[in-house]
Amino acid sequence: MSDDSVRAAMTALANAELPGHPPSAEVLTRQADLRRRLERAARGPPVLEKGIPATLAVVCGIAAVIVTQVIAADRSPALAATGWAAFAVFALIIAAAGRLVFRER
Amino acid sequence: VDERAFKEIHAQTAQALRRYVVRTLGSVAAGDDVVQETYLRALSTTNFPAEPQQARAYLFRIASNLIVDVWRKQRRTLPSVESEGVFLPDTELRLDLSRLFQTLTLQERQLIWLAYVEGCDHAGIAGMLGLRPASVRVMLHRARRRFEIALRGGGYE
Repeated sequence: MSDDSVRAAMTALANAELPGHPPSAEVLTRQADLRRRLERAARGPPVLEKGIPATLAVVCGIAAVIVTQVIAADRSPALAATGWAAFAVFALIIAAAGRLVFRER
Repeated sequence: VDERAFKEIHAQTAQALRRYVVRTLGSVAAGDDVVQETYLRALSTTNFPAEPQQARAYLFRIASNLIVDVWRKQRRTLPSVESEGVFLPDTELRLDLSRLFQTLTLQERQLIWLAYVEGCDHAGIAGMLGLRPASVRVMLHRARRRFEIALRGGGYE
């Protein structure tokens, strides 16, 4: 038996009709689009959107501390240090939020 | 890859890919699921090649992996052959080649199909099946020997 015989057998097998048809390109692109949308929906909203209420609460809390420090006429050194720390954290949060916003765009 | 390029690639590959998957799996229903999943995975990746030859190799590689997955999960439930018998032309023999092909192992079927129908070289087959080219040479030789014996056993000389 020669290599040609195997080739002939495989050619016959490859050329034989199969029932049905492959899915069309249009159907596949629609399904791929639908799958993408479903996956996006399953993942939920982006991180920034999910974290907005929590971030706002923290920012408001820190801003309140800073305002208290600014308004307070008689400040102890300990209170002043707390104010500077709060200001630093506030600046960090703003910077991180800015980076997130620009990266998402 | 944009929609127009995908349509062209699909037109060039869909029939060949379906035949490869259905004949190696031995099931039209399972084969159609694999073909659909192959294209959907290709569409979901950002690195799907736009060049037709590369895209073809890429699709056959995805399909080959999916065939192995489906075979492992469903081998007990897959029907042996769902399509009509395939017989050699110009011969009196009523030897169903589709059933005969199913007597080989899954990997042997993949190797023989890619070599003889798709005309892939050893390196190409190795890339599609995740093997080394040197291993493909040996395994393909064995697979061909087994297929020859099966054909001879069916009366085909």
